[in-house]
Amino acid sequence: MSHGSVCCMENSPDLASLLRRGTLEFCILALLEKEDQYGIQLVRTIGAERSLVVSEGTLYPLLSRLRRSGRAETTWRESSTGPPRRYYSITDSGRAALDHFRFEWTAYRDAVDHIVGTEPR
Amino acid sequence: MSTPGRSSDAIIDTYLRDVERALIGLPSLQKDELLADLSAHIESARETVSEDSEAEVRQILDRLGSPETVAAAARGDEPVPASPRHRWLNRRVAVVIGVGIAIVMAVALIFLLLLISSSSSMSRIEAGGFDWGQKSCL
Repeated sequence: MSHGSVCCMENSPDLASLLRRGTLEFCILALLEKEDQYGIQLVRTIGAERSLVVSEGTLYPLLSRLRRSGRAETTWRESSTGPPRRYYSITDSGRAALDHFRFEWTAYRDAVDHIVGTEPR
Repeated sequence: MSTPGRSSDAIIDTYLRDVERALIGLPSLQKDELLADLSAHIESARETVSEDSEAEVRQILDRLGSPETVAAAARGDEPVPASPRHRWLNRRVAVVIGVGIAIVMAVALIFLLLLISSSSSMSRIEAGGFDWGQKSCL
């Protein structure tokens, strides 16, 4: 199946935000799985992926939710350059959620790719 | 000439106040956490820019998103009491429930009248004097 390389971001912002809604928190958990990070570090890493996030500020409520659900935890650490920083780290429950997501996501993505015709060649 | 300090601080204060205002209705712990996160973000971002000018500060705030956008994300998964959309929904639900109750009551009233009239006829049948024509006179 042939596809043009037309970007559809402008046409369907709602679709993009719907897709983000269910997946963004797992992107954050995956980053935290590699290393603990403080707020702006995480936000800038995610923000660098232009299709992942529109406004950096919207990530903080998501981080708060991860903390409240017990999938991430925070600790204050001294910084050499300024005030103490609040670091986020992944918890066991966060790791389990991420593993579960990876399993579900792969199956889901493959099924959608198969039907929609977006399989990588 | 860039004027770091006062005017940049004022812009940031206004931004944070607008976010706070947009967060009305959220639990205060959550509100305070978000405001602290945003303010730490702005502070860190200001350290990384080459020149702490008003334009740079505006750019930092632009990247964060408008106060409404940030507040909407904070509300996203929270059970928010009575946002305008919910109020509108509630009104519709109230109308539907009101009409439903009216219909049920009307049906119940008709049923009750039928029951009364049939039970008075039945008692007359039992008494051996069933007469539809005279029912209303009795």
